[in-house]
Amino acid sequence: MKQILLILVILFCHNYSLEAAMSNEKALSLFVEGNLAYREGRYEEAVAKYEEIVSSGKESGNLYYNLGNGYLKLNQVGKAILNYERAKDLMPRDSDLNANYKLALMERQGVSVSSRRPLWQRFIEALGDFCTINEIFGLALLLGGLLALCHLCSLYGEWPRKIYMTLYTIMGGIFVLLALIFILSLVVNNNQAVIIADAEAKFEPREEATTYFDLKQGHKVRIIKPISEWYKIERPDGKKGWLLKDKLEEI
Amino acid sequence: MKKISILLILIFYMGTVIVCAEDINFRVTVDRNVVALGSSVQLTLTVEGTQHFDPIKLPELDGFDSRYLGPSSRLSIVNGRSSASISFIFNLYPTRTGDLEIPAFYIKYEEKEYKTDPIKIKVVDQAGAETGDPQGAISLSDKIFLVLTSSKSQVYLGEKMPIHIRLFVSGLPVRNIQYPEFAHEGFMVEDYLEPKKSQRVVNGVAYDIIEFTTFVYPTQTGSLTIGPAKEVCDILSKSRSSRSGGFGDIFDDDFFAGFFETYNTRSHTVESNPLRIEVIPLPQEGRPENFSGAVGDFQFDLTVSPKRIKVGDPLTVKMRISGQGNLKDVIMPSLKDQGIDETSFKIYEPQIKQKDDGKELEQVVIPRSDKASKFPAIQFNFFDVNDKRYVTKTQGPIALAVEKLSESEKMHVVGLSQDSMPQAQEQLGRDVVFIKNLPGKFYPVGFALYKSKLVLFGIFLMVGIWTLLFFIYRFTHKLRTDEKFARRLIAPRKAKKQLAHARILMGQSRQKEYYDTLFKMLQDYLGNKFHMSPGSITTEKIENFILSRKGNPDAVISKIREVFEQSEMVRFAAIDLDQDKMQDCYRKAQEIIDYFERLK
Repeated sequence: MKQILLILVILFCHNYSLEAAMSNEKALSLFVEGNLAYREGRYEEAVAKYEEIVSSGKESGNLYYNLGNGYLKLNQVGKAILNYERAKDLMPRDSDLNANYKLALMERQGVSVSSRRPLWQRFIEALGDFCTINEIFGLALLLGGLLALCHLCSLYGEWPRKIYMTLYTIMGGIFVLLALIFILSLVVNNNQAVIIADAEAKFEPREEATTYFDLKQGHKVRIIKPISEWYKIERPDGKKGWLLKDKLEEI
Repeated sequence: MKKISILLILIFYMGTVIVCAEDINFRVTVDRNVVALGSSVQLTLTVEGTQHFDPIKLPELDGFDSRYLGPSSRLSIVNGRSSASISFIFNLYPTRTGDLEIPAFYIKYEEKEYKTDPIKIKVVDQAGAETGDPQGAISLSDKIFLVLTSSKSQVYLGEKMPIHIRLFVSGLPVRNIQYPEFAHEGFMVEDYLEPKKSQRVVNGVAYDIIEFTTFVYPTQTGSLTIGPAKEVCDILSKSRSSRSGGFGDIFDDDFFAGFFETYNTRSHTVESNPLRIEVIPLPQEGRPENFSGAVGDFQFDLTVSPKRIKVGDPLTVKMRISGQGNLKDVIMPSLKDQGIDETSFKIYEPQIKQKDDGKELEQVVIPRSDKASKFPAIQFNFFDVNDKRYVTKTQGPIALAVEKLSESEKMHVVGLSQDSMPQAQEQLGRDVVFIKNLPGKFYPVGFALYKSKLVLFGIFLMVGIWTLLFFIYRFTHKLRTDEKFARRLIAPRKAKKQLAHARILMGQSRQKEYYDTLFKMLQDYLGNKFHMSPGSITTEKIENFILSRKGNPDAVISKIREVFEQSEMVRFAAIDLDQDKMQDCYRKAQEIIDYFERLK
């Protein structure tokens, strides 16, 4: 019985890895084709190739970066910023990405509204420019494991109390801090979206409702809740309005 | 109040003293030089400098009847300066036509005699006057005219030449006077100076004069013309408004006339005479080689500071040219043209400032070596229009004390090191940074470590292992440290082993060893279970212990008693028991252990 189970597990893993490898090869092929089109100035074709990879369920920081470049060359600032934001979630320390992201922000039109976000939120956003949420989670996990290991070692090795208490305090403190940052990062990054086409935020989710404010492509908003074809969104300055779903895209 | 009154009196007194101290001036004016027979000329005799003068009696005048109208006195204080005068006004009625003359008048004041000039009056008949001024044949050009003059009629090329344009106005209210314009081909013109106002009597008529002064510089030779100058101004003229209706007669009365007078403004252009100027070229004789065209009378100054410096320190050279002449056209002496050795001095671009009273040059010069012991002489040439010759003004040479640089200072010489020169800021382009060649590691869209089932499984596994190890430690630790717990824990295991051994002995019918083992098993088990010494186990102690527990202790106690009694009988009385008794005793021992194991 045990032997049969083992064989089944091995077969499953083998099939799964084979499928994944094939998919990666296809994605790589599309990526190279996209790059070739980009080099030759066929930006629309390049963007289509990159988008095909994304729609096949694959993503990477470089892919989003190249996609953002393609959109920027096509003067679609909103989509460029959207893809740069996605790339930043995967490789926030990439200097090329940051340079192009700043360039895209400069080309963004409309008035930048002043933010009314609290200090902790701004801190978390600033931290997002240096590390990804996965890195924070991984670090917290690693530290948690070390903490448990340290605890067991102190029990079985019968370490002096002073040593293990010092270790517990330091590692435990960092672990709690990282866990808190991780949770807050989840809260801050949740439901963030970028305007991909110039739009008008309404007072009500109706076409004929009064316009509250204008939103230019490339500006970030937070989705509060959806109702049929509409999203209720919030600007960084706290102003809320209703926007058609096709005017924005979630990061 | 009293003090203020005293002060006012004092001021008045001082004013009077000042008035008394003024120079006396006696003049006579008429309001026109041309008059029609039957009209009058107003003659005014004015004594300036005092108000205390007896009325002047007019003598008999040839060709005129006179009528005294009365005196008029005036006191004015302008900017602390006071002036006083008294005038005696007469109307003169000509008795015949022709050129008449009002003779000179004489007065005596404080033993000093004052005299006026005679005035010529032209008297025309009534018919001739009807075409012109009804009051007399006076044209507007006699009342307002412009005169263009210069103190020179022959000048050198580039010589500064003053131009005066005077606007004469007599008895006309003139407003909005503009700066005059004049043709000046072949001349360079400076801005006007501040206009001056004055008064003058011309042929008996008093004129207010506004004088505009400027300077011109001829730029070409030959006979050139300046002007005519043109002056635009507004003249106010009285006009009586026409009235109609029954009140017309009443308001035509002289009493009401003043109330209904209004003023009209009309623009008037006055033109002066042109001026011919002969411009002659500068002489070739004695002309210096580096003559730069300065014409006039100039002073030239040169200063160099500081005079004690180190190699590489900056020297400030200042030149100043002042005086009368074509300052604007003057070219400041160039250090390079003056033959300064550029191997000894590094010369920077000069800064030149034009001022009202001169022209200044400021230039930075840096000595390149300590051998530059003097700043060389600088020459400035100009043509002196007064002496009609070329003049060369020389300043310098100026001695300098230039010290060597120490070794540590050599790298910091300002202006000599190429590295220390300010670099132009580079302009960088801006565009999209190029794409990445490789995609990097692909992840499923929306992948997050914290959502991965594998990672979550790993976390649970890790927590499970940690919990297990933790409780193992707790258990082993208790075993090592809690004897009661350890004895209770091992009691059933040990009892089972001994029971198994007893069973074997029972099968071999080894009765004595069997009961020994059974007795010892029960004693050890109960001793471990109740944390007592096995030797101290008695039926009473067990009873006391069991009675405090739940269940059916009586049956267990009787079983214990039976097992102990049967064992003791065999062990100590050597009584043989059959196999059934041994089986029964074994079963009871098992039931005792089961009972206590179920008992918590």
